[in-house]
Amino acid sequence: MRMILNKSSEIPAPPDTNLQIYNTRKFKTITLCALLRQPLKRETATHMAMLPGVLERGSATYDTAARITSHMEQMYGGVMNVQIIKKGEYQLLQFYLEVLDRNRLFEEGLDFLREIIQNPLVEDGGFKAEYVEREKEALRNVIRGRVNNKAEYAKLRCLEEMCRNEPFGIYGDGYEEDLAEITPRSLYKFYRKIVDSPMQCIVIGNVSEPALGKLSGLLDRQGGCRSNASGIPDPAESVRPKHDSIRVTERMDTVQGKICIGLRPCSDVSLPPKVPAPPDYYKLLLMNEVLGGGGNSKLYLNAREKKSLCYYINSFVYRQKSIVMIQSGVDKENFEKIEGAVARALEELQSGQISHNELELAKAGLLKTFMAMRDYPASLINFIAMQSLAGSHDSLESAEAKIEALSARDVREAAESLYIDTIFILANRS
Amino acid sequence: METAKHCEALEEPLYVNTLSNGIKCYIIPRNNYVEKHVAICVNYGSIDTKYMKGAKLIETPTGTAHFLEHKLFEQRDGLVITDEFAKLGGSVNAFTNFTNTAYHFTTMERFDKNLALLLKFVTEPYFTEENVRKERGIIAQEINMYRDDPFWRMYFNLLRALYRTCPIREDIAGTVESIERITSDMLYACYESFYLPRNMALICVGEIDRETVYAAASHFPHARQDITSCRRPLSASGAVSQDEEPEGVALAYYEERMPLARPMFSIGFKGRTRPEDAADTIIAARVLMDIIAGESSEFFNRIYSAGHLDSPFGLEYLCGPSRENSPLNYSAAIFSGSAEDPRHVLQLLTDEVLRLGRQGIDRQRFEQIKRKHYGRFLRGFNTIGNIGAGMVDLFSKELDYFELAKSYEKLTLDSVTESMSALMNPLRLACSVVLPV
Repeated sequence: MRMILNKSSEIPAPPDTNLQIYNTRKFKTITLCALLRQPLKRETATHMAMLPGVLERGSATYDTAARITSHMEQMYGGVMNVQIIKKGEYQLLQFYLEVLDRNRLFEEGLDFLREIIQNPLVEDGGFKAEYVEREKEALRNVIRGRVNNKAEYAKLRCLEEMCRNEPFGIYGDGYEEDLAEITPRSLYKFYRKIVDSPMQCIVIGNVSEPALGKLSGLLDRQGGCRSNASGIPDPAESVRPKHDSIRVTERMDTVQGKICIGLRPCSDVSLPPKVPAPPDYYKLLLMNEVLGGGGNSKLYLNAREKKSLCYYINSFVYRQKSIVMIQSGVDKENFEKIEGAVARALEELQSGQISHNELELAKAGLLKTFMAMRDYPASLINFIAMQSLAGSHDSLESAEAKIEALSARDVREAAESLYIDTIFILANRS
Repeated sequence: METAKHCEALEEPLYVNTLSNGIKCYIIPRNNYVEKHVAICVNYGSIDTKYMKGAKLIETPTGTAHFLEHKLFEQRDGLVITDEFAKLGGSVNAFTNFTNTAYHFTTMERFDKNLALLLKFVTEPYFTEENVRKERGIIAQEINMYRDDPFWRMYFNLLRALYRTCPIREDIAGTVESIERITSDMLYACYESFYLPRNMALICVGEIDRETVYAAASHFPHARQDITSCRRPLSASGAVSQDEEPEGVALAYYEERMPLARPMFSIGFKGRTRPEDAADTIIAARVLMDIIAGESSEFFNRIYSAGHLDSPFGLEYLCGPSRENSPLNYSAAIFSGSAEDPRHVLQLLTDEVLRLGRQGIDRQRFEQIKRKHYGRFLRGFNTIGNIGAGMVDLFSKELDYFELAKSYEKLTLDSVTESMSALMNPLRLACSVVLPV
């Protein structure tokens, strides 16, 4: 089955500048994402995680959260927020701006964003103490709140166990025990360091000449337009020596249990079947699609449709680490059956048991995901940002062409490089 | 006949066409989008637990509409529907909520074939005792998944506290026990009673050829003449007997414990819906809630800074189906969040509502929030899936986007003030709390 690959030539590959614009009149809004990047480190993770809350509380000119929010509301409910995003072995400090594409709202928004980034509220050489204290409390609640969503908690715990001695195992939203040592001054000093580093800026929408001028002005202040921050690949080390599978079980008083299984490439090429690791990203994506990508995948059809073991079972890829994670919610007595189903599906793929139908459906599904990105500003931004992080110069179109060219052999090859690294079980009450 | 609706705020018109078999088609063009989104929507949701078949009142277990949604994917010839869509480049899914069941797909290619497949599988039910039995295990796991979700638990505890008889108090998927009682015969009977073209809509969003849609939907089978049962046409004449929902709440406070980090709460003010101006009511209520407790409100900022509340309130105005004289009508203004002491937040919110009732709403604040909501409404048109899902909800209320746009344009401070006195009555309030174990 062939998919049509037209309508796409306008999505650029990330060039070697910090500013990428996808100019289109298609959307009702203009969306901007400005990213400051910091390697994930245990000693700075919590400082990074504190920044969004504090920056959103006030700037020098708009000194309360109510003033900041009111300003955006008056701009026809524009959206401005600051977030920490963990990608690969980085924490990204993301400033997000989205306003209606009308009048000069985007230009106004850029002025406002510049104020938030470059003119924070400072007292006594630090962020406002009252805000820092309150946001520490808020972050403590977020960290403790990880247990609220059981599926998400199981996923985070699985990654933590799997990557215990790697930066990827560090929590992007920080650690409760680090909060005490953070002071308004130490946090501000930390921010000053970050904010002077080169910033990547991605814009989706109808950008006017004057807005372009303002954008360049913003980036000039942020380490310049020409530097190559966007081209530095993530140094994440994805291959680890093979070891026996780690198995961790936690108990919680829930109705349903959760299971997460993490697969990763094995570095020991002396072991059969001698496959280069890590596997190519697109091969891995397609392999994932056949394994547990959607409603046509081996795991879904077997564990849910055939055996009625679960309501959901799916898998996904952490690109930077070449990790494939499988997650499902099941009853305690069925954990083993899910483990068995995963092991069997992986073996099937490793021995090349991939039907023509499976391959074509998986390919079509994957291509569709890529092609549909053109309809979502957030997906386009994410694609461009991730390409930068991976040091890839593939445009959407060339990514699609690469997927199109994949074969069953590629799926097999990707599967052969993987083994079951970690099984995390959140056991429900009996 | 096709009518095109226009409004100032949106470039794109909305095309509405009721075909001779009774099905209502809505087409919302979004040109230059690569995806096309189609939903076929039935006015049959979890609240429809009772219906009339001829003169006979039929009662079904809770969760029947949702169960039927799962089983409609089953094919007589054993074909796997998700596979069949995938082969045509489409991806299909479905959902059931309080008032609707919807089956939807997105595709970038072979639109007509995908559409034909959707219409085919929705019109060809195939239920057997065997496939119904098999589905119970899957749905039981779905129910159990939601039972561990503190927000979901809190939300339905709130609805049970707010409503004494309205079936909105029951979980959409039912319970592990109630689905045991569902049989294939029951599913057929419900299908024949509710899946009638006049009770359904076809909603298409994207770069779409309208004639293709009308041609395909006109083949949708006419209802059998002897079938007259359906909750909506009959409820207007009062023929469906439902227990009257009292004005007051069933329970003012409910709490339970679950494994979680911080207490969570949901506070609901129980209202009623006035079907004659449903769009105006909805817009006024949403703007009102934001004025009272939204992120820029003095109230929220004061209690957040003081540490009484963990993060901004979740605000929801819940209402449906808003039909004249329908005993199933419900509405509520719901404020949710997490806090160390939810009872204290309840007190603070009640005080604020009373204060605002006495002092009135500031005009400038009203204008700011109105402008925000209008902008967010337009922003929603960026995503074709959202447009489709939003239209499904509006269809069950006999509304569409253009009526909402009109309501925004004519919204006044007076109507928001009126909404406050109608909706925010501390005597019709319930609070649901989930505490850590």
